[in-house]
Amino acid sequence: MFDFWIILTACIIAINSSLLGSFLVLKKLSLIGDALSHAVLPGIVIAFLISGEINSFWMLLGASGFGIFAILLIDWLNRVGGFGKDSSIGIIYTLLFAVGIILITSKAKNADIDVDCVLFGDINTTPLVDKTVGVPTPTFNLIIITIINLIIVSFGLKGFKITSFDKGFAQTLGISIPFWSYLLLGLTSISTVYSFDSVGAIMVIGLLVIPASFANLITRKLKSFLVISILFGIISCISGHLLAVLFDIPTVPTIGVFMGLILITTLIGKTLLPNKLEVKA
Amino acid sequence: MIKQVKNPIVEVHDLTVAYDNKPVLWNADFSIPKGKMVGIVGPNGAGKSTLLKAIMGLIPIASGFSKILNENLKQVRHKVAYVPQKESVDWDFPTTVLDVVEMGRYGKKSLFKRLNREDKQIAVEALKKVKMLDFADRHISELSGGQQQRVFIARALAQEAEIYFMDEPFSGVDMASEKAIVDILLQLQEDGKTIFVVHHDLQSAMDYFDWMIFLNTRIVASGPLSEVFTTEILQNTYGGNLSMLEQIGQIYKEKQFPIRES
Repeated sequence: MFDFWIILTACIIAINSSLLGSFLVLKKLSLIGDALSHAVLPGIVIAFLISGEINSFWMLLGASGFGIFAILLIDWLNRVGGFGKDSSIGIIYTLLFAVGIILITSKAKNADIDVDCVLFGDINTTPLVDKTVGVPTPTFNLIIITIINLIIVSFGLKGFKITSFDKGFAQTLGISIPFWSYLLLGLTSISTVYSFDSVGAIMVIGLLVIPASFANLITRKLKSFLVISILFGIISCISGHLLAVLFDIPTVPTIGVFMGLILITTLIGKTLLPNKLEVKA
Repeated sequence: MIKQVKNPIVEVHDLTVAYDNKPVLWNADFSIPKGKMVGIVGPNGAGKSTLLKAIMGLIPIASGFSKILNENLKQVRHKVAYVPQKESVDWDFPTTVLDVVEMGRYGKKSLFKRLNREDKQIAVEALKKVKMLDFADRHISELSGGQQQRVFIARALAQEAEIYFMDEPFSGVDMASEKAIVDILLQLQEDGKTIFVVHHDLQSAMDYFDWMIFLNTRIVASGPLSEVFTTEILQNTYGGNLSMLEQIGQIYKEKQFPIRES
């Protein structure tokens, strides 16, 4: 059961991140995951200062709140300030992350908030934490979020698709661009925050970007793009964990290295054998 | 010379659009009767695309308003189709030709429902009309510029609108595609639709359009081709380069009164 919970948690995070990451990659917004994962730090610290607890509901609330706040700020800089998307993301996430670091070092010295833990997470303790209906609580929460995300994306696929592909045209049909864009970023924000605990900020970014980039290499239809992205995430998590156990190395970085190597190998294969590595259907 | 008409299908009043407080479209005021093929011409940066985008509600306007079928755009969206410049989308997006055309059917119903068989049939018919059915399952990046443009036009056809706004449909297309697109536009006009086309080639403009809007930040002229295609209006629109303009004026006159060959 020990390994089972670890693999299940990793897979759930992979499904979630690959699904939302696909749209971020297609909208050329993949760094938003990076931004969110850092920008939520002040939210976590402030929630700790108010509630005095770690791993509480309040911390997740604070983090989600700051995630959405960061998105609004980035959007504002981009639209009103006229900065590029990439610059807007860079400005906001360094600002908020820096505020978070100052808060930790000055106000929350006694707290057991470890910056390393925010960055790298600790999936191997998953089986040891409290359980909800027999499932470790973080895993249980992630399952609920993933089911919600899957339902929203399958019903809203056309909306995400048309607003990602051709904003102007979508607007002339009367489709709200802000609605779909905030829906995607809001879901990403919440999912990212819930995934931190287990895999850390860096790997959340990896799972948002790498599976979708892999799918981009081998398919040209949106539905197979999403399926391949998710499968790639799941297979990477299982393989990564098994390799980690085999060589006695940490799970999360192994998943990361595995994904990176497969992506690069596929790219080399595609360069050497053009037209062979494409999923038609 | 701006010819105002009774019962216009599209009317624009005192429309001003500014970027960073610099007006790109100034006090545009004109009206267009139903069933016309309207060419919008003017030099680069004259505000041609801006005019279409403002009418389609894609950019904020500083003042003025426009009406379509005597209603606000919101009430008649389903009667209006817009073909953006083809550079405005990411052609590497994972989607096929037929997928793109089916997007033309998204507006009429809730986004959350599946397209029904009739919608799919309409999309296929639209692809047939632009002679791109053989490419239905191709990825959109595998097309030439002219083919990409035809896919965009098929998507507009699938909308089954009354009024079509097309932003530079002839830019970067080969002769065969240009011919195909012109045929489609003529067919639309025959079916009683009104078509607005942003265009940059004056010489072909006089073959394609029967109503012209000359634009250079302000509306220089709007009216039937024969009334507005004059050297004076051309000069007012384009300034400079007189000889070239006179030449075009000359060509136009000759076309008006063709020299009969025995």
